[in-house]
Amino acid sequence: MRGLRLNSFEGRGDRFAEALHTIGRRPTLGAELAVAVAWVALAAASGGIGAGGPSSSSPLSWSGRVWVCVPGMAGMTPGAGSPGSGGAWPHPPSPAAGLPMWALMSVAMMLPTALPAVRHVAVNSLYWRRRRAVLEFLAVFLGIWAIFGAVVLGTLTSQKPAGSAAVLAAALALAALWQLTPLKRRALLACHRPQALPPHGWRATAGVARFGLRNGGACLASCWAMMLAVAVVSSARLTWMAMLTGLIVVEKLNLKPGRTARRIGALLGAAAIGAAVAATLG
Amino acid sequence: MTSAAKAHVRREVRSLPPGDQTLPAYARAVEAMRKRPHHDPTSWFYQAAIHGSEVRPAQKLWNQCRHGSWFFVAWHRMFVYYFERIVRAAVIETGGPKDWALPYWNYGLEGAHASLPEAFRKPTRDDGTPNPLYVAARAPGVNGGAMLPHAVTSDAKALARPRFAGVAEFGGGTAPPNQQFWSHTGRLEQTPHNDIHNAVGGRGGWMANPDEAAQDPIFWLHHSNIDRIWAAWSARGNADPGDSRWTGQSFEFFDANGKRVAKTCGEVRGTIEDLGYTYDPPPAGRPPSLEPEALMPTPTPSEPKIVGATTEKLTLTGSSAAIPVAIDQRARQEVRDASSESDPRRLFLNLEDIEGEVNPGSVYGIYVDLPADAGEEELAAHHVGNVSFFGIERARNPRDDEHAHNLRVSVEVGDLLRSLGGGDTWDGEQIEVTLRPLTLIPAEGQAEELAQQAAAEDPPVHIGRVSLSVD
Repeated sequence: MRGLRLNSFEGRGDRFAEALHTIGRRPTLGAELAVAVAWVALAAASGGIGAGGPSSSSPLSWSGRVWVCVPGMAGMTPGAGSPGSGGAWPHPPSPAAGLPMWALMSVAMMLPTALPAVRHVAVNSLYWRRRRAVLEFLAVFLGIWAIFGAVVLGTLTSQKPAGSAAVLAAALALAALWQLTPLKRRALLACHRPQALPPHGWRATAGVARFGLRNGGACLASCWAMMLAVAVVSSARLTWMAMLTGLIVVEKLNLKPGRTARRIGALLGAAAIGAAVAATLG
Repeated sequence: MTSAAKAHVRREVRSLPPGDQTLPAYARAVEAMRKRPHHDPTSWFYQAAIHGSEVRPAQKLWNQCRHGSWFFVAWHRMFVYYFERIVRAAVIETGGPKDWALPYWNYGLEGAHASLPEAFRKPTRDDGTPNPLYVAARAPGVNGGAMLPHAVTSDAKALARPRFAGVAEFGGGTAPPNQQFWSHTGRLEQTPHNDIHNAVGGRGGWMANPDEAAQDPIFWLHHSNIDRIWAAWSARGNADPGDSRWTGQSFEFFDANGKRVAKTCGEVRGTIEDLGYTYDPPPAGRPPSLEPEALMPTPTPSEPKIVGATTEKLTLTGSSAAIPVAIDQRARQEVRDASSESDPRRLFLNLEDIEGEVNPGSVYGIYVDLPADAGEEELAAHHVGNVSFFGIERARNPRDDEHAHNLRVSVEVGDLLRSLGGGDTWDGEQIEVTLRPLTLIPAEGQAEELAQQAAAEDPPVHIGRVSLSVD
């Protein structure tokens, strides 16, 4: 019996070790971990979904001053997230201060949809170049989103938009309309287009950069309007982010892209109407 | 469950005895089905549209074929099974034999078997009426008796694959169930399936276009043969997928009474046990030449590692093309080791990111380290597989609401490298990959016509990269 127990324990141990080995060999593991870390950081910065806004006790909040994405929301003051607001962020001192939060958002929201592209880069690179190639791809992909973020933050800071619900309603309506355009459909299809990668030397570097630009560009063209909506959300941002990430992931990975994009467009349209009603009543 | 005694028997088209009614009855049934209204699911038009059709709006269950996918063999088995039931009913209606079964065209047999069966080549029947089995839109020479090259017709490389699932394996790689054209074409689907479609259809012929192929009556005898090869592979003791994503996946068709029916892949694994038909001769069991060890399942490989690849893309326009694939310096020893006699690791040659606007109708043999002026024997010794582009239009420009993608072909080349000396004599620095068009063998009086055809330039197909990978 003792032997049997030992064997079965060893069997479980072997299976556990094998499972760990399999997980360890996932070509997308690093990117997946980065996504997880980004969500944890965002949740910590917001004080958690459904909880209050950033507070001095939140380790990533920097006293609720730095982890700011979007400025100028009506009624928002530093550290003003109220219980039940679901994680709002206060004013940023400048667009530059909002960029780290934007970068975290990009990793959390956009990287999950880019995992097939990360896998493409990893498994089609010479195997000792995998890590380098993936890092290069991620740098280009996230760089594109960072540039978009800088433009958005700069614009929103200078415009000082008033009436958060009205701005949100407008952004959601824009996102809903974008979902229905042929450009959106084309961008969504382009997100899935692979590219042959040269094996080594500067050509390999250039090839991965080109793929990152093409894939990141297509991703931006596909999702910019939804990200803009997240940027102008003034309360419960983490909840909004989680919901929109779900929609973006489903849309990108679903095998009926056109139909899914239209349905998401309808959802965003309904949300826009809801926000508009809230703005009118408020 | 149907007993073997009552099973319908599908026979080789050229083994049918003189006076046999199978083909005349098929011709009459085709004629009758073509007269049925196009909205009738048992009409010839509707049945072909279930595979694919450019006609809009699409009706129920049109455009359902599964290609570049591990569902390829099972979907087509069901498709041919229900089609056979519909034709049998039409055969009986038109006074034919009640036990009618679809014949198969075994083009892989020696000699004249490699040419299109005579009954499909004549524009008229003996009584002078139009022959329903004849189609003019086929590759030049095919209706005149030109033979398909053995590298195109042979099922040997597909049958030799030990596993079902995988791009370089028998049945193709895993794919989403609702995608008509995916990029994980298995070895059977490539050769002989895709290659026969191209060789018979040529550029612009019905058989070379998935939206028209099933309109050609030879399509069904071709697929009957592909189904037989699956049965032969299974009879050798090979295992179909046990994965519930495959066994539990169901597809819908119409039965002879026009009613919708469905079967899962797991329900069509045995032709006699599950579906009540067999082949003549019945698919043989394990050939004595195969040692039991050769049939042992190999361990699941990890993701193959790329060890060398081309830098430039290769464009094919109908002529031979050769390209060296340099093996990276840091991988040479590993590749030499993997290609030595005792090493179980597998080496794959991959043709990646294949793009083209139209199917040029050509079939290319893939050769590794082919000597200059190679004779027939050397060609056979260096041949690792084929590539052809059936369905390429649909991969790049998908219909309805599907994602676009490129095609990919992977073949295992470890055995070839071992046979060329492997780790003992090969320097491991590079392999040279040659793609050579496999052209029809002209019948008497066709040489000039086919030579002119071969000299014409194809619409281009681009291969983004050729790479070598190791387990």
